[in-house]
Formats: sequence, structure tokens, C-alpha cells
Amino acid sequence: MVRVSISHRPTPLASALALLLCGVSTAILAPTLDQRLAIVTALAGVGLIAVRGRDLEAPIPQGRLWTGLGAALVLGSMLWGETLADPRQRIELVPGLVGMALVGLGVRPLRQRFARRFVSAGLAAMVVGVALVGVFEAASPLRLLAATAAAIGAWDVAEHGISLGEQLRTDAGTRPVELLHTGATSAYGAVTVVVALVVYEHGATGLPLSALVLLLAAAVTLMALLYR
Amino acid sequence: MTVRTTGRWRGIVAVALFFVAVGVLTDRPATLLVGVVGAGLAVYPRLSRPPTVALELERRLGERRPASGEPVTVTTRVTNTGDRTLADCRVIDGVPAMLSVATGSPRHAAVLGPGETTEFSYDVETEPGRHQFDPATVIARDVTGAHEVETTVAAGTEIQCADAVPELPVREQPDGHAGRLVTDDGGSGIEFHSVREYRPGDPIGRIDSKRWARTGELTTVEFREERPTSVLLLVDARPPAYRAEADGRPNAVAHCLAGVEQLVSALSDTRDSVGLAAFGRELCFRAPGVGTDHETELWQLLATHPAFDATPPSRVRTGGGTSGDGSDADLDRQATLLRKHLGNDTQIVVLSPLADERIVEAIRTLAAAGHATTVISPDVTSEGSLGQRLARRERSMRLRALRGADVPVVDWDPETPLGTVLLSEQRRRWSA
Repeated sequence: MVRVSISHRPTPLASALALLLCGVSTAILAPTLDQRLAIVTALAGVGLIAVRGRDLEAPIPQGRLWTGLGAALVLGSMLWGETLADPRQRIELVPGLVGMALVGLGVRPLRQRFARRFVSAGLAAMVVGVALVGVFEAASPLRLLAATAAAIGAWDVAEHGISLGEQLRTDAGTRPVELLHTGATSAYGAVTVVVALVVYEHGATGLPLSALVLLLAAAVTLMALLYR
Repeated sequence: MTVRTTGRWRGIVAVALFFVAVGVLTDRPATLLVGVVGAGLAVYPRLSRPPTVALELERRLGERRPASGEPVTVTTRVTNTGDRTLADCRVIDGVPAMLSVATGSPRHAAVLGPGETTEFSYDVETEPGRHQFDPATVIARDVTGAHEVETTVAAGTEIQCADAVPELPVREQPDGHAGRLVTDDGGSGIEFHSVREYRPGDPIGRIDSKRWARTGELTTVEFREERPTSVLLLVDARPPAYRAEADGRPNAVAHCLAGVEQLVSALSDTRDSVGLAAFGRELCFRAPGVGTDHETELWQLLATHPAFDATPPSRVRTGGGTSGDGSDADLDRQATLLRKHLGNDTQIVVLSPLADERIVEAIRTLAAAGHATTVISPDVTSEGSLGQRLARRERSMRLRALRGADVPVVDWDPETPLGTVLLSEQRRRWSA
């Protein structure tokens, strides 16, 4: 009787799309060519770790070789990012790379039980990166909005892949569902970005402080109600 | 059908609040604006409702009556009969507990528009016996993934593989009516027993005519009486019995249920009364009886009663273990109820993996109460780790303890068909 080990791991397509969206989010924040090269390298490294880590039956030196190479690529990109001369470029790049690495660990997964936590931590890192760029660089709203939407999209797709893997295991055919889910979330994210930009363009900056505070209070109340 | 919210979008509100806070504290309107995107995505799950699931399932088998060991291809087609698209429809087919999937996967996800059909197929390895497919579980989510509907879709499909139990050997016991059990008492029957003096009133057909012709003496021939037996098949389906040899193999209760089905088939062909009982989630008891109505009732019990479920109860699946006290009290209560309802002259055949001491005690109590008890025990132990070897030793000690108490135990390796094992036991030991 053939003993087949069936994997509960997150489905491969969703994981790949999530990592790609992480790369896109970081690339939106980091415009220079050097940074983007670093992002691609890190993406390749995380991809190696995530793919090779699924190969449970590989003999020890060979299997660990690819994971080691991937880890080296990721860490190398992060260290290179830390040594960049311009501090602004540093804050654009490094949190995004950290977030990508965390999402990759969640998607591999490093530990099945903590998969969702790793992915959420990755989202937190990317969100912190966007906030830092927004604060220290006074960046244009489009960059910030698009990067945030891509980061949240990455988190959503990764979590979807994790839940599919848990319920259906990786040997089931799940491609259309993953593609539809990714497309729907991306489209909706794009719509919110456009709406926010339209609101911004039409004079939200000229509002007096009291109006802004009231708006803020309304927004906080709404969000508190939504938290259920 | 259960409708749930998955709560997966809950963290995004925190992201939005974070951006709003940062934007306010550092006076950056652009960052504040990002909070709007966060809020927009937090509202996303509220924009959709739980999907309405209206599905039809159809299964096609490559071969309805395969030879044992041959893989059968199962093709399952799921059709959306509702008028709304199901964006994330996950189907888990109900493969019978005793069959293992050889290739392919019985799980599938698809996007189903109204009227659309999706199809997937996989191969199962067959085992002897009759296997019913369970209803397929369907988990449907809306496109945001925030609402989930779990339901089941049934399509009565069955694979029947040549039954392998030709005859169940029964033990000696005292009883009244003519049947299959050839006893050692003299009376009417077929096999010669003894000769005795003629008494007025003896049937003329039983006078030994040869002796009368030779010596003029009237004698009556006694034959070995044939009596029917009353057999109760008792399945041990308590939480400790849900053990399997390895992950993915059928558990011991599934083996016992497969064995019970073969035994019910075999016994229904004879004039013996067959009854069914189970210790487990609930006590199941159907007193022994004969006839086609009774047989139908037994098959229905096997198919529908919660005690005869081959999937372990959830506390076994999630907890990974069983609580001691609760199940002990249950077993005592169920065993007492069973003894109260059993007649004095019923044989009991217990199917149990003998995974713990409580069932051994219960069996010995039943045997001591005067019921001829036999145990058929599937061996789901293995020799892998230290714990597994310990479990195997403990089980063989329990077997020895039962045999020492005069309860015959059939140690059944699930790889061999039950019929072969019982026939070899019969040849070896039970020449009643």
C-alpha cells in the first residue's frame, strides 16, 4: 500500500500571488532601480525558501542547500538595504523586505499553526513601512494608497491560500478559486484607492481643523462599530 | 447547514485606525488618507452576504462490482442548481471509511456559475464488502471570504465487492428450536447420535428398522439435535477504540463496522436470530430476530445510527486523547443496560480492537453472566515507535487474559479478509 503524505500547506498559486503582491507593494514605495533590484533578489530568495521548504523528502544536505541559498539572498538584500546612503531609501526598502520575508515564512509555512500569525506579522511590517514613508518623506498619496492596498491584498491572498490548504490540501485543484479571489480583492482595492484619491483631490486639504476633527471622530466611531 | 462568519477581515480595522492615528499625530494628511483605504477594505466583507447553496451531486463509478484489490475510478460531478454564482465552492467527497484513495484527490474547489458543473475524479482501492459513499461535504464562501456556509450533498452510491465471509461458525449452547447448530444432545436431526429403547409415542420414522428386522427388538435412533442460535453482534465504538495503525489508514471502528456488515450478511442467510448492539456515543441495541424486515432494520441501523459512525467523535479528533472518567461511567451504564435487555441464551460476538482495559472487563462480565462470548479483534497496532510497541504488548496481554477466561479471541490482521480468518479459526478450534 503506497503511503502518500498529503500536505496541509497553503496552496502554491495563492502563495506565489501573495509574495508577488508583497514585491509590488514594496516596489511602489521604492522607486529607484537599485532598490527594485534588491526587491527582486529578495523575492527570488523567499520563493526558493517557500518552494524548497515544501519538499519534505529531500535528503538533508541537498534540501537545506536551496533553503540556505534563499535565506542568503533575502538577508543579503536586507543588509544591502540597511547600508544604503540615503536614509529615505532605507525606510522605503527594508520594512517591505522584512514584511515579504515574514509572509514567505507564513506561506511556506515555518510552522503550520503559526502560518496566519506570520502572514499578519508580514502585513504589520509592510504597514509600518508605509507609515514611515508617509511620515518622513511626505510622499504623494497615490504611492501610499497603492502600496497599502497591495499589502492588504497580499495578506488576504496569503490567508486564502492557507485556508484552502487546510481544508482541501494541496493536491486538490483550486486554481480558478484562487484567481477569482485575488482578482476580486485587487479590483476592490483599486476602487478604494481611486475613491480616496478623488476625495483628496477635491479639496480635503482646505478643510478647517474642527471639521477635520469631526470627520475623524465619525470615522473612528464607524470603525469601532465595524470591529466585530 | 451551518452558516458562519470567518472573521478573517477583522484585523484590517486595526490597520485603518493605525494610519488615522499616525496621520493625526504627525500632521500628514496623506497618511490620514491611507486610513480611508483601510476603512474601505474593512467594509469589504460587509458588502456581501453568505452564499445560498443549491447543489446537486452525481457520482459515476468505473466499475460497480470490482474484484477485491482493483482500483476503481470515481468521477464526481457537482452542479450548481441555484441562480447565483458560487465564488468559492469547496467539495470534499464522502469516501467510504474503509476505502483508501490511491490516486487523485477527493477534494476540489471551483467557481460555479448558475447551472455550471464541475467534475473531478480519483481512484479508490477496494476492500471486500459493501461500501456506501457518505454525503459529500460542501463549504461555500462568498467572494470576500468573510461568510462560510457548510452543508452536505448526498448521492447514494455504493461499491460492492465480493463478500468474503461464507459462514460464521457458532459455539455450542443449550436451546430449544431446530436450526444450524449441531449439538451433542440426542433428539431429532440428521446426524446419528445414539440408539435407545423404544418408548410408546416415538415417531415411527425413527425406529431402527434394520435392528428390528435382525433381532425383533424395537429401538429408536437418536440424532444430534440441530438448534438455531441467537447471536448478538456487539461493536465497540467508544472513543478509545478509534485507533488506526497510521495516519490515513482506516481506524479500528471502521474495520469492525466492515466486519459487522459481512457477518450480518452471512448470518441473515441462515435461520439464526441476529441482533446488533454497540457501545459508544449512544448505546445501540436491537434484540436478535429473524426475517427480512428484521434484516432491513439492521442494515438501516448500521447506516444511520450515530454509534455506527466510522469518523471519530470531535473530542477525539481535536483533543488527541480521551477523558478517562466520562467514558468509563458511560461504558458501565451501557453494559448494564445491555445485560438487562439480553435474553439468557444469546451468544455474543464482540468486535473490538481491545484498545483499553475497560472493554476487557465488560467482556468478562458478559461472559460470566452466562452468555457465550467470542471476540473478533482487528489488530491496528504497529511496531514503529516505543509507544506503539508498548501498545502492541498491552493488546496481546489483553488477548491472553481473555483467552484465559475462556473467551475465544480471533486476532484479525485487517490485511486479510475476515472470512479467511474465521474459516481457519473454525478448522482449528470450533468443531462443534
